[in-house]
Amino acid sequence: MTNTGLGRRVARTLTRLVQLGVLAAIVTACGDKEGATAPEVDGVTVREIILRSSDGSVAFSHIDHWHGSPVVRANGTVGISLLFTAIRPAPDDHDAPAVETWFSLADAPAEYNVRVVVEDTTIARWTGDRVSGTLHGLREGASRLSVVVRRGTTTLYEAPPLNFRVQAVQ
Amino acid sequence: MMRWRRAIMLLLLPMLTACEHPLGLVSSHVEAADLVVADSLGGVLTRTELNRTWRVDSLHLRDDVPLRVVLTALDFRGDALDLSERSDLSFRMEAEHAALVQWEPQRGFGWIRPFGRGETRIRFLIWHGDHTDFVTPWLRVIIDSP
Repeated sequence: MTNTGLGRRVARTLTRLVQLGVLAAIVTACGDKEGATAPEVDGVTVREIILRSSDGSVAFSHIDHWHGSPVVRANGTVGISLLFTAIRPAPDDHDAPAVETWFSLADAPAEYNVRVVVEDTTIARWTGDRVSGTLHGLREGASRLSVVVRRGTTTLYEAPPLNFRVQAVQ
Repeated sequence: MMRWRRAIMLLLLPMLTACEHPLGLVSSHVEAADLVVADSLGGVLTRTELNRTWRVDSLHLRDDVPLRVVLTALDFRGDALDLSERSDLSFRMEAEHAALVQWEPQRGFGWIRPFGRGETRIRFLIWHGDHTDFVTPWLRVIIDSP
């Protein structure tokens, strides 16, 4: 075999390898974009959050919005359980995530924590831990709360802001 | 030499197009020109005109009474665009005073939920995966006592 012939064969083989690499890159490109904002760490994946109030009502996040919202009376309280699901419904599927998929962080490693922040703390305030909490209505009005799941100081999941209402005492 | 050039071009191709066009399976943008906001009975509450202004410049809501609306995008000929088959598209709503109103989409319609008396401005968006295809002008929303 001449040097030219060997060179051609090497070039052809390299070209095929590059073509295969390109094909693999195209097939695997980008992948699950949602996964980038919902990392799985130590087996805990949070993609949506469910707030189950002590009055039986449920509010759940769905990508960029919420279905339902908690209500509390001024000078009253409502207990809320913090539940999560690893399932992200399709954008046009507005049903609540199946109850069987709900879980709490009660058994998660200790570094997992949940921060619930009320925007207007003159209207309501939140007390609680990573499993549940209490929304205290202070005066009639409306505000929003945000829920962030963190591992240590790393944010794993942040729900869209949730509107809620503090109703006047009847 | 040609083979090497071809190989390099092939290598550059995914770098230039990755994420935007993996496998070319990127769904097309919505070429919407206007948006109609109708109530649940089909009555038009307002609509954009050339997506510059609103024909009726405000929506009136009653506090604690959610308004069920049907949003319909129109193309440049004024024909309705059927977005129902596109699961990668969704209507969103932004509010300047976000604590006052909240958008809750459902399949085929959506709720504008007021959370107190007052006034703010909202606008609707057609959300396409990770970006906006269409944004309306701001629309006044006035929330009165129930």
